[in-house]
Amino acid sequence: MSSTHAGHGVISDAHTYAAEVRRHLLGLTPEQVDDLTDGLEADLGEALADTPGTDDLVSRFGEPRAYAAELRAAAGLPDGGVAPARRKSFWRWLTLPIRSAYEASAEGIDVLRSQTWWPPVGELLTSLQPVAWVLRGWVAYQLVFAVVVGAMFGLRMSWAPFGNPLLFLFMLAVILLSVQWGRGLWIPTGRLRRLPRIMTVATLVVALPIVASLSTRDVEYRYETVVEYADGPGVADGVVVGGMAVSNLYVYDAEGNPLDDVQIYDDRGRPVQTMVDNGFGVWDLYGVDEPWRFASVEDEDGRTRWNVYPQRGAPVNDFGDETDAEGHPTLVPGAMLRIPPRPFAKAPALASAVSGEASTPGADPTAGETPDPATSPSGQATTPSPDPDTSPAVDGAPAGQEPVAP
Amino acid sequence: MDTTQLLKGVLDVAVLAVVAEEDGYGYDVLRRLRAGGLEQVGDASVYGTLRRLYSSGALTSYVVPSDEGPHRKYYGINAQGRAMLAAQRKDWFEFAGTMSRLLETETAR
Repeated sequence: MSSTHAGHGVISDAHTYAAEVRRHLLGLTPEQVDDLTDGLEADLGEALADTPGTDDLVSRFGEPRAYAAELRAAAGLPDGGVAPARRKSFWRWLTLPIRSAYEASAEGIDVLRSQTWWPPVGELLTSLQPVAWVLRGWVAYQLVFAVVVGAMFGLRMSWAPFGNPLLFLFMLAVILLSVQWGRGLWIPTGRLRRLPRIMTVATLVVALPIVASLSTRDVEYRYETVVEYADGPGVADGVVVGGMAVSNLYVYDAEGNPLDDVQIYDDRGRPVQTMVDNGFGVWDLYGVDEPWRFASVEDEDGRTRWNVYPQRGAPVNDFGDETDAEGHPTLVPGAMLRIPPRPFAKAPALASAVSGEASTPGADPTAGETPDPATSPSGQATTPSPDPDTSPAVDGAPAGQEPVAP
Repeated sequence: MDTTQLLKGVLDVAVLAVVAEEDGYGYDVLRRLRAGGLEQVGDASVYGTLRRLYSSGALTSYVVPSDEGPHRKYYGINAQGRAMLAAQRKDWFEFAGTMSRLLETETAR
């Protein structure tokens, strides 16, 4: 038993001795030295504490050089000479940054290892090693692909060449090689022994730009896809006012009374539709909290019509999970399609309507250039039917003050 | 006879046997070997042997931090080590038997 003070002195001495031993193991790689002398201080310190009366480690354990030689011989490592180290001095100088980084990281790992939480974490990391091996193989494949195949045949990089069986097999082969290396099989002996580990580190560095470039390319690709959609019906169709897509149209007669179930066509007889997605979209309405969904109207021939205004719909919550044959959600029981709140209960009446008598074509906002301007002083609105060959399947509703149609 | 020479050939199986009994760090294994009668065994030889057995996959290793002072590297035996120990133990008994018979015959003559 030694006092705290004496114990401290012993450990400090053991440090010096262990450092001397390491110094005499110089011919070995830092990895081997670390492997050989990890925990040496503790062993020396305890051995010294067990033999009271000996403060001199050299007299107890012998010369550090002899100790190192014994250690190395017992570990089955070849005798290191001084000459090879000199011969390799240029090589050592070249690899100095790598070795310093390696030693620094080894020291860092030592610090980690001495933490109480390390054992489970270390085990976890060790069990994740195969993942690193697979990743290493994949990165190696990507590098070969980028340098050789991509450059020669102009193929684009991809996560995996699913479309090309030959390339796919090649990728699998490279991954297999990497895994076998990791397992210590098919491994080159001698000088290249540490190559796989170096490759793993290189992999982690190289993997980042490769993954980054692959994933940004995916994003670009998706972006292009969206643009294609946007070039389609999404932007080019529908009704736009002031740059905003319009959900619904509200029609008022000459006296300013709201009309229901008005069909609207353009000058070529095409139905004017605000809904260009067959009613699958959900609309935020101005001044309405809940988003709405709209429904089409069927004409007498059974055709679906999206140009009958104001279109009826309901808040999305009134639609259930069930869908009809076309995939549209159906209303929950008790809910009714209805017209969203109108912008005005009544629009300003036209001068001609107020003055009472003659109806002039120019004064009718709904008829346009159609032959029969349709207002009457009685407050009845007839169906505006600008297209002669379209039957008025939806009756013009009597324009009462109530917006709700039958 | 120089027993250190004999020891060289059997240190592996001796270390395996000690570690198979219970996990231990370098000096602990050394102490148990010496307590078992192998007084001559050198510190560095035992430590080096532990490292070599570990490198060859016969032992597992883990680091146990110490409250004060440097950490300790513990070694434990695994399946491969047990198999190795069983094979070497068998070899040893056969060899020892052979040697015993041989030497007894020699002295009997």
